Amino acid sequence: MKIIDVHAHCGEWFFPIYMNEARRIIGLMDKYGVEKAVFSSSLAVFYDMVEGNAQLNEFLSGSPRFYGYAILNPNYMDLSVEQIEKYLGVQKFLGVKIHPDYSRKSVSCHESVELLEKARKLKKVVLLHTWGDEQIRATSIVADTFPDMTVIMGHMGGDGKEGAGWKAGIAAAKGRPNLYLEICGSVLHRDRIKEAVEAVGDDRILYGSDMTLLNPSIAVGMVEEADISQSSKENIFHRNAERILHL
Amino acid sequence: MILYTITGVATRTSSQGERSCGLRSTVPKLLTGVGPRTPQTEVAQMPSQIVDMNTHFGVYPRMKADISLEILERLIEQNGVTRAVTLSLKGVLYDYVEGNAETLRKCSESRKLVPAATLDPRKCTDAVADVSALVSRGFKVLRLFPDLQEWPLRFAPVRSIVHELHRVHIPLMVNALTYGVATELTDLVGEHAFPVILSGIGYWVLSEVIVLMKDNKNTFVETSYLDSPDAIEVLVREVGADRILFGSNTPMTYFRGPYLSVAKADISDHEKEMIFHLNAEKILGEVGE
Repeated sequence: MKIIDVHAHCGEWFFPIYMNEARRIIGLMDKYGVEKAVFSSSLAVFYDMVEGNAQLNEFLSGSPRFYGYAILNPNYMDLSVEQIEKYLGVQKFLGVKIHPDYSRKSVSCHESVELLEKARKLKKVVLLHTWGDEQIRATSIVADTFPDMTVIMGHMGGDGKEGAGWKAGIAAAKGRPNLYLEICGSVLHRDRIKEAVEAVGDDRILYGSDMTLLNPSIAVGMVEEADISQSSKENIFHRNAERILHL
Repeated sequence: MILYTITGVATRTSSQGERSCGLRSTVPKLLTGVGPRTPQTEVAQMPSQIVDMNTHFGVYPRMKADISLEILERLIEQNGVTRAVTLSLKGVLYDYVEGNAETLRKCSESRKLVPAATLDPRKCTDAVADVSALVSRGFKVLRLFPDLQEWPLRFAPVRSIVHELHRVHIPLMVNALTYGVATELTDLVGEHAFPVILSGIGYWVLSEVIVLMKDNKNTFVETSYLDSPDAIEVLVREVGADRILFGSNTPMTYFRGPYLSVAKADISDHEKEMIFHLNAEKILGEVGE
């Protein structure tokens, strides 16, 4: 089955993971039938947004199957605006991503909202790392603030203890038609996908893997094993991404 | 970061009418490969057998989840698991005496289920008696859950239990999800002749586990949380395929992800067979021999 991965990374990790070569990433995608993937730079997330986005831009030229999100850091407003202007006109950049854990800034803070408004005007999607109740609330505020912007909630809200995170993520998405749930995580409770489909429908759930931090086997296995229809699986694996990303 | 797991390991009991402790003699040899029955992501070479070292059943009060024995048995069947090492969560979340009894009772009714024992250090005041009782009843693996029961490794009852395991030489499987737990456990166990199986190991503690496994040849890792894309390959390269045991943590979490991680790893077919069942058969079969 065709798969489009809306949550992928290139770059190094501070863990024993050795996948930072385009040919290895393509091998990983081939192994699991991933046709296209949208990447952000781990360098940009963890350390230097400018250098990381530049590396990503170069990386994207390595394969027609690679697409990207520009990372924005609301601590550096001028530089973030420059990143938007520099990359969001590039065809292979499909949107922006903000990771609140590493910038220590909420995605709903004044600065983040100002940056997201610029992305909205360019009709780009936004992927927001979302983990736990506080970040779910912040992502929900962004979705409410920009009802005409496609907002992707990374990790479905998280895979914390006793289902904390993803259950609240599903609840948040329920009444927000522009809020999409991206599914990846490490600890994937067995009813996660079924509950999401039953609550929000199969047209607002997106396959994401978090590769190359995580193995696509985890998210692929979760969707394949989920007790939902084949049509719903196809929506999650690729149709929804094709629709919102115009792929 | 990941905060918890439910994992499993264990054995076969003499009370079930099995021959001594020989898992190897009790696992039926199949002529064709096994694996998930639903047509999904292609796997070139199915393993001939699967021993899942990490399953459980019962009730989970902390979150709505159907983890009944019926669900576990259905998933085992669907996924072509030959044998599943399992335990009742009653022993983890309520009372280990009642839980172990339930584990034995349920496993005696199924040819595919292999019972794991557990002890709760918060209650265990006589490790000599408790561990001896487990051995005499036929349990061949002991599982401990510091994450779910929230006790530290530096805890006198744990020290007593470990001391007793030195005497009886049954494998110990411990959830070691957070930084330092595996290190503390290894320090506590010291030079050990019995297998120590580390469970709940994800990318964040992978370096810790590799370093420990290089220094302690009787330390093993269970696969259910090995979530980085080359974790299996890295472990095979660093410590060898003979130190890795397949586990899924089903039914709380999905089976198929951990299965695919091993089935599609860039390692030899024989190494996959080792991980999927040969290593488990060896560890479980050696107990009591």
